[in-house]
Amino acid sequence: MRTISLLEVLDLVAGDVADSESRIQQVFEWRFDRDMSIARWALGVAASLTIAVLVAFFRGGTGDAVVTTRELIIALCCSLASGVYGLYALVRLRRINKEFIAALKLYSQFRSVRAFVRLYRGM
Amino acid sequence: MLDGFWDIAWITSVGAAFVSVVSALLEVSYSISERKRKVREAIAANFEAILKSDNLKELGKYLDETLGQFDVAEYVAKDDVSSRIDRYIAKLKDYIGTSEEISEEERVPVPPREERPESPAGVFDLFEPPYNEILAEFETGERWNALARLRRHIEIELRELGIEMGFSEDQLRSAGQILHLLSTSGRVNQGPADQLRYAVSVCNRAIHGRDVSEGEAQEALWVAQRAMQHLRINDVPGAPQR
Repeated sequence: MRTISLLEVLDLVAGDVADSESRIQQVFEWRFDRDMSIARWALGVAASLTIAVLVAFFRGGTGDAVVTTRELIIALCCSLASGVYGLYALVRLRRINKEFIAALKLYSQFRSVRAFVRLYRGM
Repeated sequence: MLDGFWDIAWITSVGAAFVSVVSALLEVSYSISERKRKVREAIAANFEAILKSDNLKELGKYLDETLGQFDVAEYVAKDDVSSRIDRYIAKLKDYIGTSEEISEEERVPVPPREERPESPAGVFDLFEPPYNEILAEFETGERWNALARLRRHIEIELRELGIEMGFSEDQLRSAGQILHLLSTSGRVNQGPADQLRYAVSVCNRAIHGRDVSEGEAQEALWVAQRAMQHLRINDVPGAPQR
């Protein structure tokens, strides 16, 4: 999910949107919730699948459901893919605090030259 | 039959896993190459020339079409992007002043009408550079550019005057602030200071998008020119005349 662009920050300044800081915070909260849900889902699938298939594989000697080596490889590959994507989503989340502060800083700076922004946008 | 089914499932799962990992890697690679492309375009768009520009349209166009395409994630992640954006914003603040500085200057009282010298309406030749260039720009319709440039010129002149008088650069920020500092410390006469405040207030009205007539602009230019000449000759002993 892409973050706020500078053009969108300028739109907030030029439009003189009420309580823009809260709007920016809301956007980042949506993004955080979305990315966290994806990370949890992906890591959860990876963990569940790995545990389930390993248990089934090592219980094969007791006569219960048998998981062949090939099936084990398939499942572990899927689990690995899911886990990798989940970790990637978590790594992206690390930067969200900095991005939120940067968005507020940029909004404040552009707001201080809003006369210029409004004049130019009005041309 | 079941073996065939599981063969298909095996191949499908391995393929799906491979595609998932490759997709994540491609997304990272794409964002890196896209950022590099945007930075190259920003460089190619003569960033340094834009920093020196006095033109409202050029400054605004660069902001919307080049810098505005970057997003906050790129601003945080890469120093070259944040450096260019910060320099551009500093240029804007330095050139036109911030809304807070402009608001403070507008609260300064304007000198009574009779203290202002007669404006030489129609006597374009009496304006020296750069005032005649600013007037020419105003008369071609570039009112915002002309008066933003006049404000900037007054600020630069006053800052240099302040430094010559022994003030530090930290104390010399906006034109209004510098005038207040110089006049309250007794370094300049109140008359020229009030005249420059009037000129700056006319410029600020234009920067804020309010109407400024040609007569007001000419008067502001004449007042600014006369006041700066007076400051240079009378208020700075031994200073080089301009």
